[in-house]
Amino acid sequence: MKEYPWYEIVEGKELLQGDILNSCPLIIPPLTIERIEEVDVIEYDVIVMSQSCDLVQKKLELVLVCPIWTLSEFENKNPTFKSPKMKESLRRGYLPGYHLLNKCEIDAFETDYLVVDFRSVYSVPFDFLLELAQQRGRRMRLLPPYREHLSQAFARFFMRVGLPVDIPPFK
Amino acid sequence: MMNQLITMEEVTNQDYPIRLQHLSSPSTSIEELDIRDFLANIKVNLVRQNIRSSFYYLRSRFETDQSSIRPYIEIKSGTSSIEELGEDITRIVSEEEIILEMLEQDFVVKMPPKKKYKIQVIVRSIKKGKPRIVEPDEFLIID
Repeated sequence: MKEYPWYEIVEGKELLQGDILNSCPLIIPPLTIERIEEVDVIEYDVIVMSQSCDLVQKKLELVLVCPIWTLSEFENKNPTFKSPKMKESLRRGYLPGYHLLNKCEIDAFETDYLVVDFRSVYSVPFDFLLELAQQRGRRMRLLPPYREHLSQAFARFFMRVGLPVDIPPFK
Repeated sequence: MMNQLITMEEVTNQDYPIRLQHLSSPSTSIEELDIRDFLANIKVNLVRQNIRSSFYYLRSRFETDQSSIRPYIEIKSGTSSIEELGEDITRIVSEEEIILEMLEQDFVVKMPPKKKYKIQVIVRSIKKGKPRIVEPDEFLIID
């Protein structure tokens, strides 16, 4: 059976959907804008969510990224996820706000399973992200068809509709 | 005052769904039919829920060989632990449980950033952003 590797290692300024960048700084705007400001900066490991074709053709000024964590970090923050049942539901895609990515076993890039958080989407200036990618050196890139699977999961999360009044459940 | 009970023979409305006629006599009242129907539905639902787990349970208890014209069915001679049985049932039930639980509650985990610090910025200018027009790709027009 043909094997479909999950990741490859790349470097350079070409950004594609599914590229993983470590410690991406994100500036949190203050409540009011003054001439000189002290602003908060937070850092996340992020995965690029914008479509590759838009990135390649430079049709974007801002690139969408979502934070990622290892499954163990995720479990430590919410011990409910230590149960096999919760992990299984995460794997099956029953939790629309999160997406599970496989372990990486490439030398020097070994990771645990990764959890993508669709609820925290940030937009980062394209040029800034290109520069950051260059600075970070070699990085992991999610490969097809898992890249498209991630994109589809994000779309599914985003297109949800909450009804104000639903049909009552069947007893 | 005595309640006047309507019997099946007196029912003329075709929309009234009378089922399980084999259970009733001509003198059976509508109320009685409703109760019987209700109980029968409960029984069917209970059987449906348990039939799958019962099947797996029974299958694990018997040794069977149906490859010949004389099927061989015998109670397993080996012992099995309670844990093993428990796992079987948990595995069967869990799939449905997981789906239902996930549908009922959408979990949100607030994850802190890996690092947080402050920087000073100087605001150079504040102006209204302008839309950036992205040229559409050329496309083929077929006459």
